[in-house]
Amino acid sequence: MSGHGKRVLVLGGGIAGLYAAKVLAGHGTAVDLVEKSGFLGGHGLQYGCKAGAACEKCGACTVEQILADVAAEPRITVHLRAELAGVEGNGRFSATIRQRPRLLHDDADLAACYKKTGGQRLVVRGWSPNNRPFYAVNPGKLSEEGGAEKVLGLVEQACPGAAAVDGEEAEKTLPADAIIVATGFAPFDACKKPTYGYGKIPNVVTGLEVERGLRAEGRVLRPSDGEPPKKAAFIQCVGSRDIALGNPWCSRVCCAYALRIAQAARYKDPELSVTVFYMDIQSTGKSFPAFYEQCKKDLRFVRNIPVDAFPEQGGRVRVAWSHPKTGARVEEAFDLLVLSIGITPNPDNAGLSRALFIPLDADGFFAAGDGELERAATIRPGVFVAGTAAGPKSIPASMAHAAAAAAEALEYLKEAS
Amino acid sequence: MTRETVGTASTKTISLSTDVLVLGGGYTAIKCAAALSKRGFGVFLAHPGEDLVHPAGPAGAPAGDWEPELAELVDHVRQDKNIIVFDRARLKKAAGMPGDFSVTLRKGDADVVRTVGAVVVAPEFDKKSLHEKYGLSLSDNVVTQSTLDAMLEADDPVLSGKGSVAFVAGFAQEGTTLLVERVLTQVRRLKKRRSVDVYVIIGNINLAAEGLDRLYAMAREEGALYFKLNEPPEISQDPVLSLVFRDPVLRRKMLLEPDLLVVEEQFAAPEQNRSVARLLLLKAGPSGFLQPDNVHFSSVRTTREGIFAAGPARGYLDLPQGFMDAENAAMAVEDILDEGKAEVPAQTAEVDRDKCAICLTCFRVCPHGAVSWDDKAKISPLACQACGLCASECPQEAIQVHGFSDRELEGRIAGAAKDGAEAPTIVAFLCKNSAWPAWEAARAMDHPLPGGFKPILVPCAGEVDVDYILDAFVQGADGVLAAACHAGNCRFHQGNRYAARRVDNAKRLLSEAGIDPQRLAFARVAANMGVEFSRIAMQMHERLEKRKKT
Repeated sequence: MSGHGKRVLVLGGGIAGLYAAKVLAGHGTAVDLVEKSGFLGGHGLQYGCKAGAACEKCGACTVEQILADVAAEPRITVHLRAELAGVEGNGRFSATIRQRPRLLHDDADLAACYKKTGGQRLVVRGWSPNNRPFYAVNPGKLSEEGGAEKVLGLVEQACPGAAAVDGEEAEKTLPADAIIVATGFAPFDACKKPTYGYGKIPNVVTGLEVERGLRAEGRVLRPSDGEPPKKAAFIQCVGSRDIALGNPWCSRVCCAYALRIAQAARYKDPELSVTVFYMDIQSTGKSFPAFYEQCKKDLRFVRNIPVDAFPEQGGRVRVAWSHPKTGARVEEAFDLLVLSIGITPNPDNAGLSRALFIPLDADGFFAAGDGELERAATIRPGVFVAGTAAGPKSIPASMAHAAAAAAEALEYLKEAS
Repeated sequence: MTRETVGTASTKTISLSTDVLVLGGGYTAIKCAAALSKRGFGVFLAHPGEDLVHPAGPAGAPAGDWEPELAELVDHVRQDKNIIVFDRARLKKAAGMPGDFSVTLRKGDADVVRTVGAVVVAPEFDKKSLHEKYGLSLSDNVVTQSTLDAMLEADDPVLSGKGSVAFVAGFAQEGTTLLVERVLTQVRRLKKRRSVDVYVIIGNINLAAEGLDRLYAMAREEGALYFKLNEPPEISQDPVLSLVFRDPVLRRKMLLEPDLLVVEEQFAAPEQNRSVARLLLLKAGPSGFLQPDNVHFSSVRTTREGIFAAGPARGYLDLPQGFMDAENAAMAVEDILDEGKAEVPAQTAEVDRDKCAICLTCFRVCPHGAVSWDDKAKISPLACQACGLCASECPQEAIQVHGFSDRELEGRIAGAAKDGAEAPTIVAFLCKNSAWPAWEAARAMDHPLPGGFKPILVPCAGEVDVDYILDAFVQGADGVLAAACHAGNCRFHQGNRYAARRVDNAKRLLSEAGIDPQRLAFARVAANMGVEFSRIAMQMHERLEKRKKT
C-alpha cells in the first residue's frame, strides 16, 4: 500500500474532503480531517433527493454514503470546530489547529436537552445520523449571546449536567506529510441582488433553502404558509456570470439543481407550473440531452434574466422582465420565486492562501491546476487542492477531483519517502 | 509478473497478475499507461493506430499550451520499458476475472494472448460531422470543424482568402462544453492569424467546465460576434452562401454572406466502446459510454471490478479531466492488485456445488461479471460485490450470500413477524444502500414510525426472494414492505428492477392464495431521505390499520 506510515492533513469536511480522506485511508494513510463547523458533510449533506419516478443523478445520497464510510474508518481522525492556524515546515509539515470547545457533555441526555430547548435553538443536530456527535451548540447562538460562557450558562440552566466545564479554545499541533485543501465554497449572498427582494419578500427563496427544505420535508414548500406552490419561477445565474458583481464565472451546478428540483416538485404535483429564466442552460452529464428534452416539454423557459421582483397579495411575488422577442416589459406573479444562487469563493480562502503560501486565482478560488493538466497540484510541493475550493463543481466532479488530489498526494508521499 | 498473496484462515491464496491492459492511443490512454508504470505495473498499451504519435487525437480540444508537456509524455511512454505498445491492435477476446484476465489482441493479422490483472478502457471520441442535419453539403466554403483544424494546422493558403468566417453550432445536437470549447478555440486561432471577421451562431453557450468562462471572455474581447439563437438560422448554399436569422439583441433580421461556413461536429462516444462492452461484459450507459449514468459509479468505475473506463470512454470529458481519470484509474488498479487486496472479502457469495445444475442463471444475472464455470458455477471473490442477485434468482437455491443466507433470513423473518406488537406488524426488507440508512435517518430525526415496524437488512432489494415475502406472511406479518432505491440509482446496477418484479410476482401469488395483495408494498427511497421513509412506513401502517378495522 502506497500510503502506509504516512499522515495527511485534509482541510474541510464537505464531499471533497470526505472523499479524499476515504481514498487516502483506503490506501493505508492516516488522515486528520479538520472541519470548521460542528458537523461533517458540508453543503452536499444538506441537499434533498430529487428523484421522481427515477433517480435524477444529483449525487446528494452519495454524500450520506461517503460520510458513513468516513465515520466507520479507523484511520481517519476527525477534528470538528477546528481551523488551521498556521503551517510550518516544507515537504513535511507541522500544522497548528485551533479548536473551539464542544461545550456539551457527550454522556448527558442531549436528545432530551434538544427537545427541552425547543429544537434547533440552543442546541442543534446534524443532518444525518452519521454526524457524530449528533448534537452541537447552535453556532448562531454563540455569536448572538456573545460567547461560550453565556451559552454554557443557558445550557446548564435548561438541562443540568449537559454543559461541559471546559469552555476554552485549544491548540493542537498535527504532523502532516502532505496537505489537501478542501475548504469548499460560500453560497452567493442573495442580498447582493437587492432588486429581487430576498430577505424582504417572504416567498423569495434561494436554491440552497429549497434544497434544505427538500431534505427536511421531502417537498418544495412556500415559507409564508408551508403550502406547496401552484406556480413557481426560477431565476438562473443569481450571482454568477455577473460582471457588475465581479463574479464572471459560471457556477456549473445551478442549471442542474434548478431543473432537477423543478422536475422533482412536478413529480409530486403534476399541476405545478414552473418558469425558468435563463441565459444558457448548462449541461449536467451523460443523460442531459434526454433530460433537457423532457424539461423543455414540462417547463416554460424564458431566455431573459428578470430585473425586479415585488411583493403581492396572498404571498405572491410579481416578477418583471423584458420579453426576449419584443423587448417589452412583462410582469407576472408567482407563488414562489427561487433564486438559483451560485458558488462563490470561501471567504477563508485569503487567509488560507497566506498560511499555506499557495495563490488564489483572479476569482478568489485556489489556483490549483489553472491551465495545467494536473488539476489538483499547487505551486507548493506537498499541498493539493480538491473540490470547490478550486472552483465551482458538482458533487460527482468534486469527488473525481478529490480522488485525483488523493492520487497525486499518494504519489508525492511515495516520492518523498 | 505475478504477485503472490497468502491468505488468512478465511481466505485462499490468489495469485494476481500485475500487468494491465490499456486500450486507446490518445493522451488519456498514454497518461494512464505512464501512471500505471510509475506505480510499478507492467502495461500493454493497445491502440488501432499506426504508431503512438504526438499530437495524438486528444479529446478534441486542441492541446494549446500543453503541447510541450504532451510531447514529452508521448516520448516518455515510448521509451518506458514497463510499457509494451501494440500498434494496429484491437481487443478480440477477453475472459477471466480481476487479477487474472486473459485477453486476446488482434494485431495486424496475428493474435496476441496476454494475462492481465486489470483493464483500463481509454479510447478517444469519435467526431461526427453534423452538416447533413443542417441540410448542407460540404464544399470549398462549407467545411467541418475537423477540416478547419487541418487547414489551421497546415496554414492552408485558402484560409488567407477568407475575409469572413461563420460558425454554426448547437442546433443539430444538444451542445456540450467540449463543443463550445472547440468553437472558441478555433475562433481564437482564426483571429490570431490575421484580420478576419468571425461570426458565431450558436444555440447554448455551455460554460460549465474549468476555465471555459474565461476562454469565452477572452474570445469575446478578441472581437468575434456571437449570436445566441433559439432557432437555427436559415442557410442557403445556392447561388451564394448565406445565413438568415433574427438577431435577438437588435431584434431585426440579419443576413450574413460569409466566405467560409464551419459546421459543428459531434463528440460521440468512441466507436470501440460497443465491441469492448460486449467483450468485457460491461453494462454500457446512455449515449454509448461505458459507465451507467448512476451516481454510485464514481470516477472510473464500471459495472465490473478490475475494469475501468477513463476519459471519453465514460462521458463528455475534456483532456484535463481525462488526465484525472488516468490517475484515478491507476490508483483504482493499485487498489485491487496491490498486496493484501487479494484476500477474499468476508461478505461474498458461495455456490453449493452439489446443488448447482449449471443452468447459468447466475452468470446471466450477475451485474459484475463475477460468475464463470468449470463443471459447476464459480464466483470470483474479487469480482463479487455480495449483492445477492444470483442467490435470489438461482432456481436450485444453490447460492448463499455470507451473512444473508436463506437460513439466516428465515430466522430473522420469524423473529420479526412473530413479535407480539399490538400495532399491525410490518416486516420491512430494507436495502443496505438506500432504505436502511433512510430508516436510520428517520429514527434519528424523530420522524414517526409505526409501532409494529420490523426492519430486516438486506444487501440489495434485489436479494429479496419471493419466498422471504411469503414466509413473512406465513409467520404472521400483517404487512410486508420491500424498499429499494430509485430506478437508475442501484449500486448493483439494477437490483431494484429485480426487486420490483418479484414484489409483483408475490402479489399475484398472494391473490391466488386469497390473501389481500394490498398487504404487500414496494417503495423507493433515497439514503438521505428519512422524512420520505417515515411517510412510506406510516402510510402503510394506516392502510393496515384501516384494513384491520373493516
